[in-house]
This record gives sequence, structure tokens and C-alpha cells, in this order.
Amino acid sequence: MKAVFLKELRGYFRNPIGYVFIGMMFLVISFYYIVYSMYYQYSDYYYVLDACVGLIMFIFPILTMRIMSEEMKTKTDQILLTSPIKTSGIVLGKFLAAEVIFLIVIALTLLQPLVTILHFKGTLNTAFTLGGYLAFFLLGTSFIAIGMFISSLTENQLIAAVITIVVFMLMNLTNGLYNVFPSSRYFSLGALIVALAIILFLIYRAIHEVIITGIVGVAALLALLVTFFIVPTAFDGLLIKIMQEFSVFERFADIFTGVFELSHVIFFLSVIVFFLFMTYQVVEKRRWS
Amino acid sequence: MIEVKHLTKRYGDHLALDDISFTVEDGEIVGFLGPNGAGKSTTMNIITGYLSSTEGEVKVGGVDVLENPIEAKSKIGYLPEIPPLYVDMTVQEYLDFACDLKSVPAANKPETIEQVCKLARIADVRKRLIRNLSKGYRQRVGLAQALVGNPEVLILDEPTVGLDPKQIIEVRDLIKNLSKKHTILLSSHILQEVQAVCDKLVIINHGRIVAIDTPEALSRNILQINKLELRIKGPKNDILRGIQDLDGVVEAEILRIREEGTVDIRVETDDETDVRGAVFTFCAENNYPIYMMRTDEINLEDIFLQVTGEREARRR
Ligand SMILES: Nc1ncnc2c1ncn2[C@@H]1O[C@H](COP(=O)(O)OP(=O)(O)O)[C@@H](O)[C@H]1O
Ligand SMILES: [Mg+2]
Repeated sequence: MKAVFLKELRGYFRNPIGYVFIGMMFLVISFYYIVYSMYYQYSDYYYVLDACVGLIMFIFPILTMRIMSEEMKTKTDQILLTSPIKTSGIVLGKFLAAEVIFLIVIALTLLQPLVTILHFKGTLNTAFTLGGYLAFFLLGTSFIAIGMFISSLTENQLIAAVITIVVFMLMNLTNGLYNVFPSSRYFSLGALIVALAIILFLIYRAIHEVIITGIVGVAALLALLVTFFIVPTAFDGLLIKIMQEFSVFERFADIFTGVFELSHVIFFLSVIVFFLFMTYQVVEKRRWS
Repeated sequence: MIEVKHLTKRYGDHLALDDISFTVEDGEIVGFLGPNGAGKSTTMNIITGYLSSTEGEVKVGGVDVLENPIEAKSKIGYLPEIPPLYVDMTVQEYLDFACDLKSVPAANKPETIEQVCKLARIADVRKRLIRNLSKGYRQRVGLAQALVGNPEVLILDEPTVGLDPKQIIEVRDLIKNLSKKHTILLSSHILQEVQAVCDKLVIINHGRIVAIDTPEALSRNILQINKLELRIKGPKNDILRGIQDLDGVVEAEILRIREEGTVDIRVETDDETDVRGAVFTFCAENNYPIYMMRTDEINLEDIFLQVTGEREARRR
């Protein structure tokens, strides 16, 4: 893992990607800092971190698009995957190197709240700012894990970048879309059946077994319908609840409402671990294709 | 040292390998021969653990590649068809990284790198960026990478493809040199290339093994002395008639005139006859100087036709 980590980290400063990412991130954050803290004179730095997310989600793909794709394209993944090291070490090493680049960005911004403290003579809300940083860190790390996973799906960096941007945008959009969806129980049931169909399709793509996929599908469908007829009220507004539960951005916004909950941290950590695990799976499974 | 048993590999519907089995003994150097698309790279990628087989098993030094990948991989040095080079590293940095991947202790790194650079003859470009190296040097950097950690087994996928003749000879010499200390599996689509260096040839076509034998036995089978090309000085019609009259000649025809006063003739005899002596005697008696005499180029296609043909004949 260490070898891959160091090689990746060095790589970020060999080609411009590391500098570009750090530079653009710092530029965007500084822009919001100037507007919020200097111009509007908000004393709370976490406004800056909250506001810049809408823009920086377009910058993260620059960092993540190549993580797995590039080596598939150049075939250098052959030296990694035929060396006596674990696949998990490769995935983790690459992830941690990208993470370090992100941490450099965070370190660079630390000066800004400090200036705010001096300027407003100590009125900075320290707890909120730390909470904001934690949320920012967790969100960015989730972006890296998700972007890395998407990068492992294709050897084309551009496609990886576009898909990543679309996914981030969808994640952000659904954030405001809850109210649009009807909360009727039938709508929830219908949406769940559609979701089940998509999951079944993905399972089939992965294992190519009609019978097993069929059994899983029928069982899940029956379970859904039986639940629906026994406790129909459980389906009232269920879709909206689920989407809120799984929304990265919702969680991110929640941290800023002031009540710091451990469940939020655990949620982000699960997202990160899940996508790292999926990346590992994709790398392992590709050999069987 | 390498045991390949009943390997089958399917890419979707395409059957790339169909029940392949062969072994490479300790210290042996084995040529893996087949035309493009035969399945050589696929087989090597499976042996090295880059790909998984659909069926079958591979053992390297008695260790199953699927069950114990880390241990099996630590016995192998692999040069893939496209050398896996990081072009924005220098040769030194790249080999340093290779040492890390293969868990060479930090204290032994300088010595290891020194050694593989000397073996692969790239010591003079150690400080250069790989991006700026010629094809021949890149190939040798790839080879140096495979040598890091002094693995028992070397797997080299078409190591001379795309090199110029001088570089080909250099790489071939290098491989011959390495074969003293390593077990080697070497792939190629050119017979002459592996014939000279290998103890044994495994010939593969369309994902199936066509023949496994020593180069001598294989060339004996396939030497095509019943097809000759001649260039003889003298009156062309007399020469043609004379040769047509020799014992065992099935067919003789004038191919072309290349040099003033000479004639190029293609001769085909029946399978039992070696007509070369008779041609000499005939020409000597009539005082027609022989400017050239050669058997038809042996190429892989002929081997496949011949070997598969023989097998089919045996079956009938
Ligand atoms: N990733 C792949 N997907 C589908 N088919 C492949 C893939 N790699 C190789 N093949 C096919 O498998 C066969 C064997 O390829 P390969 O092992 O590269 O042959 P060789 O190295 O002998 O030229 C070819 O027909 C090739 O088209
Ligand atoms: Mg090949």
C-alpha cells in the first residue's frame, strides 16, 4: 500500500493535476471567503464552507477521474496487479494519496478563519467552524470515494469525469426535489418496484445467472407486496424519507444546523467505506470478465 | 515450475483459450509460439494472475495462482506485451517503485537496481525520463522491472516485437544469458526467433495447443526440402528441361529473371526425394554455375497446416 500511495502522491505533482485541483479549490473557497467574510462581514466561517460546495463538486472530478482509469488505459495496472501485493492495498493507497491532496487544500484554507478571528476580535464561533470543517472533510472524502469508484468503471478519463459530475449534480438536485414527489403510498410502492428492477438488472449483469436473479427478484417483490398489504401506512411518504436518509447533501446541510449528530459522521463513513469496497470489487471482478 | 492444466478462457461468447495444458520444468526455457490472436497474452496474463481463467488451474513453483496469489506472484517476473511503464518517472524512480512493489528491503535496493540495470544494459539511461526513451530502451526497462527481486520464473510476452534487428539480437542474447539462472516462458509469433534459444516449443493456434516438442523435432517435421528455389546461369530452356528430367521432380517452372544471363526456377519434388544433390551434379556436368539454392521459407502457417494436418491424418 505504501509504495502505491507514495507513487500516486508523487504523481500528483509530476503532472499538473495536483496543482490544478489545489489551485482551483483554493480559488473558489477564497472567492466565497472574500464575499462572505470580507464583503458581507459574516463572522461565521462555516458559511463559506457551506456555500462553496455547489461549485467545488465540479472540481473534484479533476482529482478523481484518472485514479483508476488512467492505469487501465496505459496498461500499467499490469505491474500493480501482477505484483505480490494486495488489491485492497492498491485501492487504499490510491485513495489515501487523493485524500492527502484534499487535506492540503483544507490546510491552506485554515488561515482564513484565523484572519476572521483577528478581524472580529474573537467572535468566531469555534464549535461551528470545527463542525463545518468536519462536514466539509467528510463530504469531500465521500466525493473522492464516489469519484474513484466511477473511475474504476471505465478506462476513459473524460467519461469518468462526466459521469462523476452528473452523479454529483443528481445528488445535489434530488436534495431540492423531495417536495416535488407525491407522498402517496402507491407512488412509493411503484418507485420501489422500479428500484428493485434496476437492482435486479445490476445483479444479473454481475453474476449472469437467470435463475438466481429470478428467485431473488420474486422473493423481494413478494416481500414488498405483502408488507404493502399488511402495513400500507408504512409506505406513506416512504420514498421521500428514503431519499432524505441517503442524501449526502442533506446530511451535509444538517451538520450546519448546529445539532451535531454522530449518526451523520457514521453515515458519511459508511458511504466512503461502501464506495471503496465497490472499487475493490470492480478491480477484482474485472479479471473474470 | 509452471503447471498449466486445462485452462479455458471465455471473453463473453468468444472462446479465447480452449483446454490448454503444458508444463515448464525447472530451469527450462520454453517458447510459446503462435500467430496474433492465438491466445498467448491471455495465457500469460492468467499465469501471472492479471486475469482469471474461466476453468482450469495454474501452479507456479507448486503454488496455485488463484488460491495463494501473493506467494505465486512473488515467484514471477513478468514483462507484458505492452511494458507497464510510468512515462513521467525516471528509470531509477521506476525501478525503485518496482523494488517497493516486490518488497525488496530498503537496504538491498541500490544493489538490486544496479544489478538489473547492468543485466538489461540500461545503466546509461538511469537518470532519464522514461517518456524520452526509444522503443528498444523501454523494452529493456520493462525487462529490468521483471528482473527485480530475482524471481525464479520469468514470463516474457513478445519481448522483441517492434525492435530493430540489432536490438532483437541484443534482447535475444540477454534472454539466453538469463536462462542460466531462471525458468523462462517466452512468447513470439516468429518461429526463427524462439527456435534458437528455447529447449521446448509450445505451439498454440486459435486458443488450442497444436504441438509441444523440441525445436529440432519440430523443424525436422517441417523442413520443406521438397520445395526449392534456384538461380542458375545458362540457357534457360535447357536448364528447365534438364531439371524437369531429374528423378523425383514433380514440377519445375521459371519464376523470373533477376540477373543478366541467369534464370530463377521453382522446383517441387515428391516427399521422399531430396533433389539438391542431383541439381548440383546436373549443373556441374553442363557447366551451369549455381548462383542460389534455397528451401522455401518456413513459416508458422506451414507448421500449423502440417502439424494439424498430420494429427488429422492420424485420426483417420
Ligand atoms: N479483453 C478482451 N476482450 C475480448 N476478447 C479479447 C480480449 N483480449 C483478447 N481477446 C481475444 O482473445 C484472443 C486471444 O488474444 P491474445 O491472448 O491477445 O492473443 P495473442 O497474444 O496470441 O496475440 C483474440 O482473439 C483476441 O481478440
Ligand atoms: Mg499477445
